[in-house]
Amino acid sequence: MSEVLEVKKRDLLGKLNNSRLRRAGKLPAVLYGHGKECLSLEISAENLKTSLRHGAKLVQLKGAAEGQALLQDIQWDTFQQHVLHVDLLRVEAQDRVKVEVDLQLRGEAPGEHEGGVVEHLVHFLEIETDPGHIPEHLHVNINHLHLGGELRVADIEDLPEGALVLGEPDMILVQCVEPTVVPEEDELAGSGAEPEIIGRKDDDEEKAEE
Amino acid sequence: MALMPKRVKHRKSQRGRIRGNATRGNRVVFGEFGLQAMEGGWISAQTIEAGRIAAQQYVRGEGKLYIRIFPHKSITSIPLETRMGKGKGEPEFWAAVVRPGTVLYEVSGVTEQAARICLARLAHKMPIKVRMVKRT
Repeated sequence: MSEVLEVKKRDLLGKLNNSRLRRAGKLPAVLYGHGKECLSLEISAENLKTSLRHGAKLVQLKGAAEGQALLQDIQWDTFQQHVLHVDLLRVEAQDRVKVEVDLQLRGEAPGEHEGGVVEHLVHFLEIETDPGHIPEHLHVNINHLHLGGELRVADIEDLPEGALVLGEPDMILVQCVEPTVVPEEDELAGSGAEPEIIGRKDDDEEKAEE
Repeated sequence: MALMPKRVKHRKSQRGRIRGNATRGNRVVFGEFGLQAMEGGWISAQTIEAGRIAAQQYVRGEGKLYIRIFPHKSITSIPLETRMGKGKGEPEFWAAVVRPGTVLYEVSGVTEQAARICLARLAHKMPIKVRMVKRT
C-alpha cells in the first residue's frame, strides 16, 4: 500500500518564501505529468520523512491534489540530512514508470573463504515497471559466488513480473575477484622533489636557443 | 608515498579562501560508507597518507578503501628568522582544498561495524571535523 501524503497549494513562490516554508517544517514540492497543469505544492517535512523511511517510491496524494504520484526527484542539502525540494510525477495504474531501485546482496559468498573479495559494482538499477509493483529493493544471492565468479542482471532474484531492467542486459552486478595488491611506489628523491612545470624549458634548451 | 601532482602549470599558488559548501564530491559514490568533512580546510598530502595507512589495516583482505581527494595545491612558507620581503617562499607541501560536505574517503566490502571502526581511526588523523555517512 502506498503512503499517504497531504499536500497544500503553494501560492508564495521563490527562494525566500521556500526558505520560510522550510523553517516552518514544510517543504516545497511540484506536481506534474499526464499533460495536466504543473502545481506548486507544500508538504509536511515530517510526513515525507516517514514515507522515505518506509522506502516509499509511490505516494497517494490527499488535499490540494488527488491521485497517485511518484517521488520523481528529491533534492537533499550538502550534508544529505535535510530534504530541500520534491518533484512528484502523476501516475496512473496502467502507466509504465522508470524508477531507480537499490540492489542489495543476500547471503555469504564462498569465494571470500577462497581468498577473494566480493566487489559490488552496481548499487542502483533503473527498472521499468507498473506503479503498483515497484519493489523497495532488488536482491542478488551470492551464496554460490566462488572466486572468479560473477553475477549478472539475469541473476536478480526478486525482479517483479513484467518489470524490465534498463541498460546493458549482461551487465556484471557483483563479482568475486582476488584482492588487488597495490605496489609500493618508490619514495621520491628527498623532500625537495617537485612536479614537472608545464611549458618550462630546460636550461640546456634555453642555451641552445640563445 | 605522499600524493602530489605529476605536472603543474605553476609551482606556487595564491592562498585563496574556502567559501560555501561542496556541491560536487559530496555523495558516497564508490563504496558503501564514507567520511564527510563538516568544515572546510586544507588536508596535506602527508595527512591523506596517514589516514590511508590508519584505515588500510582494517580493510585489508576483505574491503576496499577509496581516497576521494587529491592534493592539487602547493603551500609555500618562508624559513624562520628571515627578514620580510625577498618574494614568496618556497613550496613546502601539497594540500587538498576541502569544502564542508566533501567526502574524503570511502570504504566498501566491509560490515557497517567494521566501517565504523575504520573510519573512526581515520577521523582521528584529520585536522577538521568529519562524520561518517552511508550511501543514500
